[in-house]
Amino acid sequence: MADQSAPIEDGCFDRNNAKLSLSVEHPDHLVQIGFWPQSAAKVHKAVATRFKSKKTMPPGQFVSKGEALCIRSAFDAYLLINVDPVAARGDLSPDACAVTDLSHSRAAIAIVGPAVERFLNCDIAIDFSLEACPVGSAVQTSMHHIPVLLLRHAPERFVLYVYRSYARDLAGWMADMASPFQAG
Amino acid sequence: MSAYRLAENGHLIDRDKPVSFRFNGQTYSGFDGDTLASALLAQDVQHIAASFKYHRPRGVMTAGSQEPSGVVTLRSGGRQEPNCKAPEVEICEGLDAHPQNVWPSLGFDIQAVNGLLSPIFAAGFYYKTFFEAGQTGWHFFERFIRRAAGMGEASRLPDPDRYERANGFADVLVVGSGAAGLAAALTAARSGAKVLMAEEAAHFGGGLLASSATINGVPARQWCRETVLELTGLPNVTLMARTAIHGLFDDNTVGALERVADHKAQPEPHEARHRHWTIHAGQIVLATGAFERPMVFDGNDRPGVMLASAAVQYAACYGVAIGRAPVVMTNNDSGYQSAFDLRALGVPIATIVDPRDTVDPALLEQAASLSVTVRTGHVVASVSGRKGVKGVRIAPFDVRGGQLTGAGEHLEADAVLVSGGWTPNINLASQAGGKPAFDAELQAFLPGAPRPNVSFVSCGSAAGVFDLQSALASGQEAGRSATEKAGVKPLTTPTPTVEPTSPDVRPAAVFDIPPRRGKGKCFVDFQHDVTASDIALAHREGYVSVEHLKRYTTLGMAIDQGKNANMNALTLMARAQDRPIEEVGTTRFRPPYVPLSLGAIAGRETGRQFRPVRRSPIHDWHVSNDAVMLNTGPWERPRYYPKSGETITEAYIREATTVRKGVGMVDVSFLGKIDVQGPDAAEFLNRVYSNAFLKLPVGKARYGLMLREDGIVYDDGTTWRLSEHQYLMTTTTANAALVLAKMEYWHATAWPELRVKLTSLTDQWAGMAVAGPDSRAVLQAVVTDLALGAEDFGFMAVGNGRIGDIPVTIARLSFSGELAYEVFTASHHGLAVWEAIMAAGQDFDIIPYGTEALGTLRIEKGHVTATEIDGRTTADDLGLGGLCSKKKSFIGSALLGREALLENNRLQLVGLVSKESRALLPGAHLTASGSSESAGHVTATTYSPALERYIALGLLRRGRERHGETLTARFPLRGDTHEIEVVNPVFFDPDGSRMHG
Repeated sequence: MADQSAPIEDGCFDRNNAKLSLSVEHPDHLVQIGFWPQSAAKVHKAVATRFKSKKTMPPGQFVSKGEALCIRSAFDAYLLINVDPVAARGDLSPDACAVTDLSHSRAAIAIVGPAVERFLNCDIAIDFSLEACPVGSAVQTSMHHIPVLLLRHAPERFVLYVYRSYARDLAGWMADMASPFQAG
Repeated sequence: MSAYRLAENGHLIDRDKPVSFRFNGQTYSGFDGDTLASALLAQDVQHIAASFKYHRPRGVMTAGSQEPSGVVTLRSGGRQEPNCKAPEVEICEGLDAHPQNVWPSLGFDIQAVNGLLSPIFAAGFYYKTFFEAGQTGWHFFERFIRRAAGMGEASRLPDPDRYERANGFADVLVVGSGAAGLAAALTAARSGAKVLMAEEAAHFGGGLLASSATINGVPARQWCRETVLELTGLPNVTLMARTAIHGLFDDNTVGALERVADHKAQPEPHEARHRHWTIHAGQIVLATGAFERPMVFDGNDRPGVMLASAAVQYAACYGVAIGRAPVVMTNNDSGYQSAFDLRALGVPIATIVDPRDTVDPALLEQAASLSVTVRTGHVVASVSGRKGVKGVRIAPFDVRGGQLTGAGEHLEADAVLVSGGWTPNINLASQAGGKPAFDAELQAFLPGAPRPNVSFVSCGSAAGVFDLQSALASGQEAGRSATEKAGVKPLTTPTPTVEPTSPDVRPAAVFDIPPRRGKGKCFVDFQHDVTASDIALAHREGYVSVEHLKRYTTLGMAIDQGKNANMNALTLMARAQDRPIEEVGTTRFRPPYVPLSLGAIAGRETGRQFRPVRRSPIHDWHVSNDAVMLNTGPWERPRYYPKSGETITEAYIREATTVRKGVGMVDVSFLGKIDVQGPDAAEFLNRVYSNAFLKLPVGKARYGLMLREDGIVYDDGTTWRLSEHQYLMTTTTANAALVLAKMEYWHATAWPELRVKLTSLTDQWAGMAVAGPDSRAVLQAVVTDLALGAEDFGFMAVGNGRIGDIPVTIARLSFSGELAYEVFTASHHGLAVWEAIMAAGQDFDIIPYGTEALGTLRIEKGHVTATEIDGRTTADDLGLGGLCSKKKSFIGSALLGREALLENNRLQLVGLVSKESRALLPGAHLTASGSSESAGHVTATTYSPALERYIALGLLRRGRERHGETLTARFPLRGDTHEIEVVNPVFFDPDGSRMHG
């Protein structure tokens, strides 16, 4: 009964090669911790403790601990991936922060290969060179007019998160965009 | 005419690789590396085009993208592309090129008769002739004019090729790859800057490719090749050939067109034909070179009249001689260098004509040593021949007076090679820079300073530095300066040495040769057929501004965008006005520098990828159950589910009837859903909504009305209190993002102290509304862990339950006016929950229904939506005035009481019933019988199966007072008038017993 219909099918990227590979990812959970100025210090401390980061992460960066990721997605929010909502709240009270389960709201697509920067630049006007966008960067932008979040996990590996309702359309757009890199 | 292929030279062609192509229906052969221009010239095909207005025969004038005359259409069918410049077209096996703007053929173009009527078709012909014709007259003539006008014709078939867009980044963007560009790129690249060099031609090198100079002791071409090789090997350098920078915009954002596959018979699979680049450059070096300037004389447009430097390029790069007896006319020393280079390349130049009386003796000496006759104090007064040069008239010329001083003599010639000086290519600098500065020595404009939000530096001949040694130094300096400004420490490298010294390009101020007795056609703008006499006419008619001259004569508005014509036109205009050129000024060049294909602008956003589409988690079910889908904003929503043979009307009537009598289910996943969470969430909502929200208990929902700051209704929806600190707000589908943005704005600017977080949940939750008298029974059959009885779960109740093992949140709400429930579940479970409810509803003959039936049900119930919440209506207008609290302040409350919103003749929501038993038209105006004055309009119409009548909602002045009146709904565009009766907008179940039951 607990059918889970995925927004995009695993096999929708069928032309992968060594230059560029796209694949669907299935994160377990995606939870937002929103907070307000009055409780910011408390939330930053809790997050830093959990992810063993030395200082408060600025917006636009993420850290990982095992499979779990913590993204500073805005001045007043963190996004946790592969952390369930209960664990995300931890000891933080509802007075301190708003914990919102977004696990079903996003689809994730991994983009891997030496052509990854050129591929992303086919649509996105952001400098993805390692100097400008180092590993650990979290970039919120749009692709094909669709809001996306890009996490750089490695020099040649990004994971893109997109709203579920747009996911199929964006996957088709990306597959088409990838075709020149995957031709031959 | 006698152009031909030289036995030697032509370093860009591979004589071992013949290529066959077609032009004008005939098959020709060229070599790999040839352009269409070089390949046709090699076979003495010089007449390849017709001019825009007079349909005069035209040939190739230049060797680059500034070509004004040799313009053709390539390919056919969906791939047909007009206005391609023959010197830019690289031939490939199977290339098919066509002359354009000719009928019935290039050889016999009937519209060439226009040439005979040229005295009539002078500048301003259309304005003067049709100004008095009136609108009707103009529309009559317009179709003939339009048929005759235009250059090439775009295909009406879909283009099967792929077009792409991309972004590029560089510390230093170098535009142009001539001597200065290469020097700049090398300096920046060796210093470690990230360099991108764009060259519009197929090969890097610019003028060096045809230069006879040596650099550092090796031929310029070899130095160029070695430099490009070094740049190619550097990891911080990207070289882009066939890439024309077309626009310089704020913040060093640069537009570029890459012709990816134009040089191939067909793009490879998945390969783009064109790619549009947006380049984000730290610094820009403009090494865009200079254009050799044509001269204005009788017959200067004939095939066989060519720029002298272009003739050198054809000989050096493609091994093509423009003629067996060409004459060179020049007003500066570079024309001599061209003549000498041509002789060295095997082109038999016999005569140089120079209006100057005094010429550098060294040049005369060199000419004499080559047996080239120099006719100083003379000009080419006219050219004989129609489709090619058959001879020229050489006549004495008074430089000071600017006149011919004698009839002169005829000279046999088969080509005229012209050098009227050089015009720095300041087009890009002009787009993003200040006023160009006139250089009297060069008789040309130089780039102005960049605007504050653009950072470029010009170098080489683009900056007026024509001496090759100096150009290299200028490029190095530009590269060094750009590198430094980009934050990279520049390295200093020695400037290469050049032999011999470059010729002096400063021209004598002789650009036009007025014909004797005023006869003859002297063209200034070749493509648009603007002559020297047109400019004189414009002056006589009072056009004193260069901008007005341009528009009146269309000078500079052809695809070469004035690259060839502007300076000569300015000279003529200045002389006519007896003012210096710098006072006359020049027009500002605008993007694009070269024509852009529409495909490159659109990129991949065509067809099904035209715009992004949002799909509900239940989308596939709708499609597989034959739903007809409707795009509403980005969403694809099921409109109706026709049974075999059903029309849309039959389908929505069946669906709405089933909901009224049994049960139906509609996908409402599209609704905006916002998580409002935090200790101050209730206070926040209480300020946002016009009605009270502080005391909404957990487990209850409330309809909320949201106003704009000016008191006009903004949006509506229900908000569910899920826990002490958490609410789920629903919005209209269309306004979801706007409402969230507006609330975030209010939170950030007005109430930052409120501890609340707003998050879109639209994609997190799938939603479905189960509506109809049997809806409770259906849900009771499938939902566990939640009592849904009438007393347990009253109207506006919210609770959590399960369907199977899937958690669901259910609210008892009704948009249809029926007993109804909204069932929300996490999106990944949406399809499973939908299918489970459909399965449970089989015993009740449940059906899915779409937006058409949904619209019918809400009109019957008098529920408002976007057509009534139209940005002009107040809560009171919509009969919702009671939802505006008098006890609290909320967004919009301050301005709600302003005079204009309280006028007694405002549009108010009413119901309308057809008295003619036919469909009403939405948008029709409501008028009193016998009056044509609009008193309101129809907002939404339907056939009501519950009432068995055609009904509508409308907004009518003083509507609430007018129930029972008979009015006329008029739709003038469709010639429709319709008798209607004004009634209460709640047509169905006015006491709400069904939805509260």
